[in-house]
Amino acid sequence: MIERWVAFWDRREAPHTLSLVRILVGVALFADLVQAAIFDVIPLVWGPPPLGSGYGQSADPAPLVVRVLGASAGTGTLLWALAVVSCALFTLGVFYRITSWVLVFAMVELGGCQSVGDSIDSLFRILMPVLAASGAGAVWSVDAWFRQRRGKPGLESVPAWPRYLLVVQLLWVYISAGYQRDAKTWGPRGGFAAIGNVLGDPHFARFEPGSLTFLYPFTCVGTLLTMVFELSAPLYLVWLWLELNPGRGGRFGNVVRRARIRWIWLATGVALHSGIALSMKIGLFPFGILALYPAFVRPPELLAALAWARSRLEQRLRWRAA
Amino acid sequence: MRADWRTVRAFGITLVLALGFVAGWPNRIAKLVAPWPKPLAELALKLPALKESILAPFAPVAGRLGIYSEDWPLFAGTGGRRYRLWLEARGRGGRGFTLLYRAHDPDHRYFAGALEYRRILNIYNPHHDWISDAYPDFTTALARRIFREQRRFQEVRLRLEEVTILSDGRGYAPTGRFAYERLVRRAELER
Repeated sequence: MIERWVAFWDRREAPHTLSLVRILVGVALFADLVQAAIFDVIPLVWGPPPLGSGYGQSADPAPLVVRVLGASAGTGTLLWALAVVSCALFTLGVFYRITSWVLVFAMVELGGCQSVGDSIDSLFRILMPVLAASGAGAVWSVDAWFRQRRGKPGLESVPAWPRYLLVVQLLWVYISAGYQRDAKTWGPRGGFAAIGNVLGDPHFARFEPGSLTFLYPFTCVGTLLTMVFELSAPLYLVWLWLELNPGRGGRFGNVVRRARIRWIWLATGVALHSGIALSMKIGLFPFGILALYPAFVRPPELLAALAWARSRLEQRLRWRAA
Repeated sequence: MRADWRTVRAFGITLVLALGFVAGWPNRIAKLVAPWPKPLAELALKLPALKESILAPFAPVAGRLGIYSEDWPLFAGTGGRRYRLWLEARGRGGRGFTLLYRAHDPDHRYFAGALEYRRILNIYNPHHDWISDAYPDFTTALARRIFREQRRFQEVRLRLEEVTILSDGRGYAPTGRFAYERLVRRAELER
C-alpha cells in the first residue's frame, strides 16, 4: 500500500500541460501587475502610510525587503518591478528554476507590504511554489530553445505530482466554496438569486445594474449550475478514474465514459468562469482560475488535441494554396 | 538512495495535503452549524481550536510563504446590503462637496480605472460588516494625491453609500445612508 502511494507520487509525464499552465498563469499575473502601472497606483497600493496604503511596510516584523531597504514608496515600486520582471521571465521560461522562485519571493513580499487582496492572491501564493518546483519550464520556453540549440536532448518527462497537486487544490477550492454557500440566495429558498444579485452590486457589476433584467432567468440557472458544479467537484476524481480504467465501473462506468461526464464538468467550469469574467469586474480571479484549468488535462490528451488542431490548420492551408 | 528520496517526497506531499485539509476547516463554522442538532454543533465548534493547535508548529513556515488558510468562502452571501463608493472633494469656500467619482456613475469618473482596479477595490469594498485595515491609510494617500493634482481642493471625503439589492435582477436601490466616512483635510497633511 505504502509502496503504491510512493510510486503514485513518483509518476512522470510529458511536460506540456504544466508548461501551458506556466504560460497562462504568467500572462494573467503579468497583466494584473502591469495594470497597477497603467492605473498609476503602485505607491498607493504598496507604498507605506501616509504615502500609500501598504501598511505591511510598517508592520512588525516587516517583509524581508523592507527590513533591508527600509520602508518607502521606492521599496514598494522596486518589489513590484521585481515581480513584473520575474513574471515575464517565468512566462517565457528563462532560467526557469531561478526566475520562478524569484517570482514566488516577490509575490510573498508584495503580499507582506499589502495584505489586502482577494482569493486569487492567496491561491497563487499556494500554487506558485508548486509550479516553481515543477518541470513547467521544460518545453515551450527559452530554456528549452537554448537546450535544443546546444544540441542537448529535450526533457521528455517531468514529475507529475505538481500537476496532481494543482488539480487537488482547484477541486478543494470548489468544495470549500460550495459547502460554505449558506446564504439562501444560492438555493431554491432564495430563488437562486445569487448571481443576479452580484450583477446588481455596483462595485462588481460590469454592466449597469438592472439593465439586464431580461437575462435574470439565465442568472438563476447559472446559480444552480454553480452549486451543482462546485458540490460535485469531488466526483471529478471518480470521472477521471473511470476514464483511465475503461474496463471498470460496470454499466455506470460505461455511461460516464460515453457521456463524457468529466469533459462536461470541465466545460461547465470554463463556461461559469468565462461568464464571471464577462459580467463582473473582479479582475484576475476568473482569468487566474482558467489559467490553471489545463492542469485538469492529461498531457496525452493535450498533445492529441494539439496534433488535431495542427492537422486541421495544415489541411486548411493546403486548401487555400490549392 | 533513490527509494529513500521517493519516500521522503511522498511523505512530504502527504503531510502538505493533510495540513491543507485541516487548514480548510471553515472559519465561519459557528454560522454554518447553527441549524445543526446541538450535540453535533457543539462538537463542530471545537474544530477551530483543534485546527489552530494542529497547524501551530507549521504556521511560521506557511507565514513565510504568505499562506494563511485553505478556507475559500467565495461569494458566500450575495444580495441584501451592499455599498457604493462616493469620492468627493471641497474647495476653500466651504460650500458643498464636488462629486469626483461614484461607482457606476458615467458622469463622475475621476480616477475610475484605478478605483475599479481589483487591488484598490478590495481595500475599500466592505466585506459584510467590516472593511479592510488598509482603508484609513488608503483614504489619506488618495487624498494626498488629489490635493497634489487639484490645488483648489482643501478637503477630500470618501464614504460608502448603503444600497439594497433589488429582487429579480432589477439592480439596486440607494438607502440614503452612508458608512465608513473619512474626511481628510489638506491642512492636516501639510502640517
